[in-house]
Amino acid sequence: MGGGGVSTECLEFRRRVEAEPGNEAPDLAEHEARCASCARFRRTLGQFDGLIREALLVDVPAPQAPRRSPVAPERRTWWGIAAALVLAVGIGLAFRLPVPEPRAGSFAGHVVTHLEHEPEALDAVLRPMDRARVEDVLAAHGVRMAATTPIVYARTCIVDGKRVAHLVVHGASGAVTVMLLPGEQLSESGTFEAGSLSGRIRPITGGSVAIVGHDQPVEPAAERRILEAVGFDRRNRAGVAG
Amino acid sequence: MASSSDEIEPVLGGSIGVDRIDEDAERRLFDRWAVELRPDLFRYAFWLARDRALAEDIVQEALLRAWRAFGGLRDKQSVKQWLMTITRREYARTYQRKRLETTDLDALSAREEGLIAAHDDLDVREMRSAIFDLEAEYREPLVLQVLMGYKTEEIAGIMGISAGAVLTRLFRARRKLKSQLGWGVEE
Ligand SMILES: [Zn+2]
Ligand SMILES: [Zn+2]
Repeated sequence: MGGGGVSTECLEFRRRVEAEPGNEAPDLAEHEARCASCARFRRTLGQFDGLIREALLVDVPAPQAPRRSPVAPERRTWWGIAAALVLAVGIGLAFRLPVPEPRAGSFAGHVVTHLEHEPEALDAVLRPMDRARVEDVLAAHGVRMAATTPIVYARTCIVDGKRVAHLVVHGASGAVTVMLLPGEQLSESGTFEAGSLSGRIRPITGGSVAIVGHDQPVEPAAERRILEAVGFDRRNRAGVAG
Repeated sequence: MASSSDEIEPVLGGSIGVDRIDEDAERRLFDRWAVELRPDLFRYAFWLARDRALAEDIVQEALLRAWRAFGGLRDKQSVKQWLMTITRREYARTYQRKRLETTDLDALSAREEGLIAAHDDLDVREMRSAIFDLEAEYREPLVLQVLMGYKTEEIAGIMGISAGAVLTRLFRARRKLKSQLGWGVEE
């Protein structure tokens, strides 16, 4: 408790300015104009932030020699061919609307938590699982997936207490996670974002699917290709219809 | 529910030659962004990892991944934010693998002593050291705000937390640094 005229209003001003020194809200400017003490506080904070900035500006080392040209043959496969398509769609990224974070306890929330705890799934992008193992997992869930879909990872996982087929497809927009929940059409559907994850949950015939992008949202064209390629066996559909 | 292959592979009708030229142009564009944004990405990675060598690896790997997924974005801000997110994710992957080695703060600061001391101004050196010791949850939003110039909402997006949480952390980060450096809370 100092000896100055620091009111509740002043404390509020300082709390907000210390979180956002650049905050130009009119009520802050107004307070600053009639409170010399807070005006001084903000000037000092400006100096303090200048020091922070200077401290953060560490020297940047010269680039290392590239290990190899990234324009390698692997880019000319399924996704390489689709690059032009992605180029057309990619521009849309710049104009994306904000997407909500998943609610706690929602299936989307469970998907996010699950993916955060299974980061090695994405490593399969570099070392794809062999197709026979992938097929085993698909069969176990009554999932059909077009043979040409580049699935690099498949595992049976428990998400929100439900058995799902956890797949990673290495497609045109990088790695895409596909979670297939057979026999249950979730009422919850829609898009979500959490950290670098962004995805969509939707019901499909015979179950539900979550399609999740990792460093960027899944391109609509890539999502459509996945939805066109996937299907559930009849035994699941019967389960849903009943 | 079709399972025929032609529904999955897009047929674009471009010849190999045309595709080649497009890809070279795309590559030049990507390289330009990479050169321009590399200092920011390196500093971001450094302040996440607090390890110079690791930061270099993270940035290189992130750029490699980004190139594989590059969709020809033309807008600098979205390219930057996208690359930041990839860098962050790359750091997380690396951290998962090297968790045990990188949590020893004394070892880290000993290794990066040279970098911390590489400034003629004593105040800056002290500040650099104080930020180095700051917990990750406070260090990261500070870097994103002060160095990268991101707004609170953008920081919330990159870190995957609420805007309110970002503000609280930024406030506490400055309070911690002030008390560390003896700037006190005046009046
Ligand atoms: Zn005041
Ligand atoms: Zn899983």
